[in-house]
This record gives sequence, structure tokens and C-alpha cells, in this order.
Amino acid sequence: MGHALDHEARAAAKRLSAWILLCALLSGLILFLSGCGPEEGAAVPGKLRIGVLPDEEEAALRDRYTPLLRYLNQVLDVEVELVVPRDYASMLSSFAAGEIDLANFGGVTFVKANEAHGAEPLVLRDIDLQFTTFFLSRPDEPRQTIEAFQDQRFAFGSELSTSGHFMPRYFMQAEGLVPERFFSTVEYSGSHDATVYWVRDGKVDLGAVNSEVVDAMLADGRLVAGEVRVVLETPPYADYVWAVQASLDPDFVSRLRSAFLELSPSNDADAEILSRLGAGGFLPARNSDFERLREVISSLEAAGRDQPGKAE
Amino acid sequence: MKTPLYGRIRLYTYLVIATLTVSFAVAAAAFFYYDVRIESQLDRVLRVHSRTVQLAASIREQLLPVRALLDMHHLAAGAHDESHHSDLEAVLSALPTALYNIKNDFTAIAQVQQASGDAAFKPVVHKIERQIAELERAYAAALSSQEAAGVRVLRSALNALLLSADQLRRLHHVAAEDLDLRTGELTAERNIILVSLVLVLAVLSVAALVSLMSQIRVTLARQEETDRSLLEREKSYRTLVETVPNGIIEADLTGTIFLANKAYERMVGRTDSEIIGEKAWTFVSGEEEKRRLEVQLGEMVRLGSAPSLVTTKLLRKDGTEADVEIAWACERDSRGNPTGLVAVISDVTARLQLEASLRQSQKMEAMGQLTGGVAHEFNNLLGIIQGNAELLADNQEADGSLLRPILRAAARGSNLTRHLLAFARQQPLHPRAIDIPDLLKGMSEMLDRALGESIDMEIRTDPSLSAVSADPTQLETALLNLALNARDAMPSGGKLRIECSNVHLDDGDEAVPPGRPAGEYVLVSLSDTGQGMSDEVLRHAFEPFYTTKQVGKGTGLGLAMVYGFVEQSGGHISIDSRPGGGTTVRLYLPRENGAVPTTEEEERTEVPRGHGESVLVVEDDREMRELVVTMLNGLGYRATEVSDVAAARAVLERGDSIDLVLSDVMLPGGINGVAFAREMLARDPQSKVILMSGYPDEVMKYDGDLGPDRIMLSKPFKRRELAESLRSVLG
Repeated sequence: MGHALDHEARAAAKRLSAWILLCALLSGLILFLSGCGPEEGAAVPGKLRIGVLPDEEEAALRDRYTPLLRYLNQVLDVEVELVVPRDYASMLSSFAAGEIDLANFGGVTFVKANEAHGAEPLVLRDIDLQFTTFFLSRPDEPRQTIEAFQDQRFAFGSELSTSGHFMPRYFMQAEGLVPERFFSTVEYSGSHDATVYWVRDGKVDLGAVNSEVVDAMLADGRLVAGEVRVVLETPPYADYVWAVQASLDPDFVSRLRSAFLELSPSNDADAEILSRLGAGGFLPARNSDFERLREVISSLEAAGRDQPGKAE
Repeated sequence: MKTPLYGRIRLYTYLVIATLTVSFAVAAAAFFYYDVRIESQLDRVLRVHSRTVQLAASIREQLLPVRALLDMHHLAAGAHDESHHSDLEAVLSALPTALYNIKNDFTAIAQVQQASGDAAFKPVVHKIERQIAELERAYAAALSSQEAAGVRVLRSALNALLLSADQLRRLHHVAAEDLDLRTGELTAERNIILVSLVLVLAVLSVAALVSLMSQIRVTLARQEETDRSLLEREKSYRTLVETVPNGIIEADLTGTIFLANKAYERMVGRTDSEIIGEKAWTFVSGEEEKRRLEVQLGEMVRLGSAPSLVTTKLLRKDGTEADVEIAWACERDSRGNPTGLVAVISDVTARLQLEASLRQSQKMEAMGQLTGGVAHEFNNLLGIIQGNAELLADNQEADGSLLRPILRAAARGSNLTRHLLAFARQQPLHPRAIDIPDLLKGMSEMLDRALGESIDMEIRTDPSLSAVSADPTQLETALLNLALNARDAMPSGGKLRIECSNVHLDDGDEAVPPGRPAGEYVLVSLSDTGQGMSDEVLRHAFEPFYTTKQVGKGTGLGLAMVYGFVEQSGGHISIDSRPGGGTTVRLYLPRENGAVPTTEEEERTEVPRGHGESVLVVEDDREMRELVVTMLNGLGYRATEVSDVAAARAVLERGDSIDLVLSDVMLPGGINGVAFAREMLARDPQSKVILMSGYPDEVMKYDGDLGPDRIMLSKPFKRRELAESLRSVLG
């Protein structure tokens, strides 16, 4: 019996050492994971692939972006490539697939890329922070405030447009107005100029349009002054933004940002690049610039789950 | 007490403490390290940022009014209004102050930036430096040229600087966001370390616990094993204690009993519950004894005296007493302090009784020896007195009136010595098979007369009663003696009952005294309804000359004779008596398996006389020899006398005609009468020999040994006995 007991005691000691070994391994693993995790996948790209919105012919796009590409190539000493996706959706999927390192997103697209794929905001043009939306009515309209248009007909632009839909909806929601309940009808015209014409022609009583588009239409004569009246201009908000993959090396991202920020309108060469991009200069972009947009998108998505097919 | 378990528990405790200490230290270090890192980053970044943002704000503050003025001037210039030239000067005059302020701020901030080494800000800060210089140059150019182109350049430089200010401000915000992210990461990292520490601790604790539990289990199993073996030993000791015939008690130091075995319970005739809790001396008989034992035990505890043996009596519940020996010992612990008392009690009642009985029989034996020796000597003297007196009586000249008292006294003396010899178991007995009912029938008339009318006698005999082997004359005498004793015990009348039965005595029976063989006996008991005897009387009842009767009324030899006769007959006698409760005397007589011969009355005839036959008398005692020779001559024999065997042989070898040899047994010269008789018989089987002896033992020893015709005479003998013996041998 004594021998058996001694044997049992030795077995217990063995078990104890096994436990301790297990502990050591476990803690080592945890420390290893916590220590190494963040560094994983950080990379300096051999070639910088730049995706841009396909809002023009590819030739025009190349013409517009070539100076920037050349500049980046010089400053960063890295090969650059322009990627022009077929449409907004394919741009998003290319970014998701890692086929694009740097992309010029619209506000909504960026929010989605940020949420789904961790796209990090890099820089935006000075004017990108100055976007506003006009609420337009016919000039003879007696109603002077948005609140006065209750139960009237209303139109947004494109359903996926930041300035034609999401941001005006955000500002209305901030005032406690839910368009679908407040107006008698809410329609999507499909584009900014269409909305302008719907208002001018009396198809709707009130329309939300990008202020720059209105200015441009006035400038090129597509719209005659006095055909519409601005009921309200929203506060400025951010729209377009340059974003990078989260997996990029932080130092490289930092240099990339600096390269954009270096572009000075007082320098002739820089001014050329900037003017092609319609910018007075670049400013660092922040995630919080798109906080309002993110809010309204998520609230619409929540509503969209109740009304399938309505969003996007 | 040190066991492996305690060692292991200590080891595990140290292990856990060490683990806790290390973990605590690591946790503290992690907290400290991360907090310091986070703090320092926050500090540095916030310090640099606040100054940087300050610069951005300063630039905007200083330059925005200037740009507003320039814009107005530009619009005016567009209208080609010369009157606005003075305005331009006013505008331009505002710039140096703004530039001075900006440059001051910048210098301060550049130093901070230099110190911080934050790469994110550097390009913009450098750019601002350049742009400030550009603005200065543009200002100088615009001031000197006063042309629209110069103003445009100035405006462009101004805008560029304002943009940089914006960049700087936003960079701060980006960095702040980044900082939030980084501190979040650091916090997460720290939390992971803490969580893993907790995990490690938990696993270690569980491991230690599991191991400890198994240790405890093993130790408990060992303990259980030990307990079990202890229990078994305890049980076997318990069995031992309960099995031994000795009483065993255990008591505490105050003498209070807390354990007693079955044997002790039997000894004091009490149950366990009546014993436990009592004092060790409670059951001792007598207050004096109790106190003595109490004092003794107290001293044993106090002084540490050695174990003691006490002989005392225990009082049973039913009032009877038991003689016991108590061996006391004091139990002590390892340091020698007394812890309790233990006693082993032996019941010695039976042994003491046996010893008393042995002493009694030894006493009786010694008395018998003494009595026998004295009686023999007297017998010889009496033989001389009687023989000579008889010779004198035969002489016609003697005065019969003087001789008769001598002869009477000699006869009484002879009678007395015969009684003494009877007690001393040395009387010559002639045992025969006796049918006791026959004997009693023959005695009944005599007994009735002896008992008198006030005493009824009842005789009960077993029809299948065996015969006994005893001397009938002596048995009669014994029964008569006992009957007379019974009569004397019932002076005012009563009843005497005589009962006879067959009994078988075993070795253990009380009726069988030490040294007596067990076997078949006939019991003859005589019970009276008299006054009985006290213990003291009973103890001396068989001793010779012990009598309770008045002087002159009894000899004190009655019971002694009966005792001697029964013992000599191979039987045993016992008396039961209580004062006032009557007396029962029991005679155990050995059974005789042979047939009972019919008794014939011995016919009394004249003393047979000799016809001149020659008789050789061998006797060393001169007086005895002369007496015998005188008797022989008086009876008509020719007597030749010698004093020893050598002389006798000489007579025989001389060829003298000797018809018969009459020889004493005890003779000087190394050869006794028996050997001499054998010698003669060997030489001539027709030889005739009569042996004489004063010692009935010898008589019995050789009686019949020398053939059916050889007769042994017991001294002293009467003339008639001698004459008859001679005639029966010579024919």
C-alpha cells in the first residue's frame, strides 16, 4: 500500500509540473500575440496604385490626374499607377480586394469603405470641407422656411449622393424632420440638375441640390438667375476624400500625406496640379469630418432594413 | 509533528506567494510602464500641439483681416479706381505687424517642434517658414511696385500661408485622433498582459490546488490505514481484556473507574453501569480497607511508587465476599506524569479455600503421626503391664483384688491407644465386603436403646445400594459413635435420619479431599435436628480430645476415631452444620464389588493349648520377649528365645527342632522379620512363621504377603489371640 501511495504522490507532482509548463506556454503565447499582432501586414507598397472616381472619360481622368501622379512619383520615389474602375461599386470592391492603395472616394463610398475595409482618411481638398446644399423653390413660392413646406412635394437628387441626399437629410433630421413623414411626397430625381429642373418646372415644391452645381449651372447658362430661389443653404460639410489602405506602413502614409500637404498654390508647379484637381490646397482628413454623414447613413440603413430595396 | 503533507502545504504556500509576488510586480511594472508611456506621449503631443495650434490660430488671426483688405482692394483694382491706392498702402501697412507677430510665434513653435521630433508636423512647419519668407518678399515687391501683379503675388502668398495654417490645425486633430488610437492600443496591450497574468495565476492556483488535494487525499488514505490498524489492535486488546479470567479496571487519577471488564463485573456481581463512575475502592469490603486502598492509590499517584499488590476482599451486590488480589499500577505519559490507574484483580477465593483445606489435612496428618507414635510407645508399655499382670493372675498366690484394677487399667489403656491408633489411621483393620442395610438391621436394637425414647430414628437405604469394603466392627463402632453424638446434640429430643446411597465423586467435587481418588462410593449420612455447631467448633471437630461436652462426659475421641477409621478405609468424611440448624455427617465409603459373605458368630471356646511344640521367639525388646516366652510356656509350648536374626539363624542351623518361628518385624541387625520369614520360606516352604508388630501399618503391609497361613499379630495381643494364632498355624 505505501508504494502505491508514493507512486500516486509522484504522479501528482508530475501533473503539477505539467500544469506549470502549460501556464508558461499559455502566457508566452499570449505575450507573443499581443506583442506581434499590430506589426503584422504593415508594408511599403512596391507600386502605389491610385483609384479615382470614374466621373469622366478615362482620357480626361488621366489628363486630370497625371500631374499629381508624376509629383507623387518624384516626391515619394515610388512607382505610381492610375486605376480607373468601371463604377463606384467596382471601386469599392477593388479597394476591398486590396487592388488599390490610395483612393479618391466620394463621402458615402468612403464611409462604407471605412466601415467594411478600414479605409483610413488621408487628405481632402480645401474645398471638400466647404460643400453645402441648397434647398431650392420656385421664385414665386411664398413659403420662406423649410418648416413651412410641410405636406408639400419634395425631391432629393441621386439616392447615393452625399450632397444631394445624405447631408440634406442629416440637417433635416437634426431639426427633427423626417422627410418621408414631413412632406407629402419624397422623390429621388437621380441627379442634381434634374432636381433643379423639377423645382423650376413645378414637379416638386422643394428640392435639395449641391450648391456648386447650382453655381456651375448659373455660370454656364443652363440655369437663368431668377428661375429658382434658395430657401436655405446648409452649413458646410465634407464630401470627397483621399483614403488609404489601413495595412499600409504608417511612415509611408505619413510621407504620402506630407506630399499632398506640400502642394502650395503659391508655387507655380504645385498650382498647376492643384488647379487640375480643382483645389486651392490639401488639408489633413479626419475620420470625424464624416461623422455626420456616417450617422445619417447608419440611420438610413437601419430604416432600410425595415424597407428592403429603399437604400442604395 | 512533521509529515510530508505539512512540508508540501508549506512548499505550495511559498510557491503561491512567490507567484503572487512576481505577478504583482509584473502587473505593477506593466501599469507603471504603460501609464508612463501613455502619459509621456500625451504630455509631449499635447504640449507640442497646443503650441502648434496656437501658431495656426495666430496666422489666421493676423492674416485673415489682411486678406479681407486685399480682397476689397482687388475688387477695387478691378474697377480701376485710383482713389483706392491709399487703401492699398493702408492694407500693406497692416502687414508688418502681422508678420512680426507670426514670426515671433513661429520661432517659439519651431523650437518646440525641434525638441519634439514629431515627423508629421515637420514638413508643414518648414513650409510655413518658407511661406513667411515668401510673404515678406511679396510684401516688399508689392510695396515697391504698387502694381496689380505684385498685389496678386502677395495675395497668393497670403492664401498659401493661411492654407498651411489650416493644415497645421487639422494635423493636430489627426494626431490627436491617432493618439487616442495609440493610447487605446497601449491600454489594450496592458489589459492583455494583465488578463494573461490573471490566467496564469488561475491556472497555477488550480494546479497547486489539484496537487494539494491529491496530497491530502494520499495522506488521508494513509491516516485511515493507520486508524484502521489502530482500531483493529484496539479491538484485539479489548477482546484480550474481556477474555482474561482476571478482572481489569481502569480509573482516572481521582480513582473514578471508567473501564471495567466482564470478569470484574462478575467479581463484584454488578453491571457495567453500576461500576463506571464509582471509586476504585467502593466495592472493597470494610470501611477500614476502603480507606487504606484510597490512601495507597493516592500515594501511588503522588509519589510515583511502584506497582503494588493488595490482598483484600470484595463485597458483591448479594452480600457475599470474594477474596481477591489486586495488582495496581499507575499509567504514565512519556514525561512520567501520571495519567491514570489500572488494576488487575485475581479472584483467589477458591485458592484460599483449597489452601485452608490442605492445611487442615496436613494438620490432621501431623496429629495422626504424633498420636500414632505416642500410642505405640504406650502400647508396648501396656503390653508389658498387661502380660505380667496376667501372669501374676495365673499365679494362685497372687492377690486377685490387687491385680484386677491393674488389668482393668491396662485394658482401658489398651482401649485408649486402640482409639488413638484408630484416629491415627493405624489400627489394624480387617476390611470385608459389608452390606450396610444388613449391618444397620443388626445394630437397630442397640441404636434404639442408645438414642432413647425422645429421639426418632429413620433409616432410608437405596435398594440397589452397593456393598462397601470396610472393617465391620469398626464401622459399627463408628456409626454408634455418630448416633451418640447426635443424641447428645438433641437433649430435648429430635430426629435422626440415616440415609444410604450410591454416589460417584469426581475430582472437582468438594467431597473429595486433596489426594483422594475420585470414583464410586457409598454415602452414609446421618442428619440430626440438634443444636448444630459453630464454624469454630466445626474446624476442630475431628481433632482428638476436642470436646464440647462436660468434663467426664466424653473422651473427645469419638469423631477423631470415626475420622481415622473412614480415612484409613479409603473413604472420606465431612460435616455440615450450622448453629441451630442441625448437623449432617456424611461418610463416603469405597464400594466393594465382590459378594457379601454371611457373617457368622465367632464361637467363644476355651483358649487352645499347645502340645509341647517348640517355638523360636525373635524379639529385641527383652521385656516383650520374656512376656511372649512366659505366655508360650504357660500355653504348653517349648519356647526358645533369641534377640536378633543372626541368633535365630544360628539356632536353626544348629538343627534344633523348631516347629514355629514367632518373630517381631522390626529387628536390629539390618534384617527385619519379614525378610527373615521369606528367607526361611525360601529354604523350607513348610516353615511356619508368625510375625508380630506394634505398627499396624507393617501388619497391613505384610498381611497375606507371606501366604494365606501366615498370621500377623498386632502388639499388644491377648493370650487368647496368641493361642488362637498358634493353633491356626500349627493346625
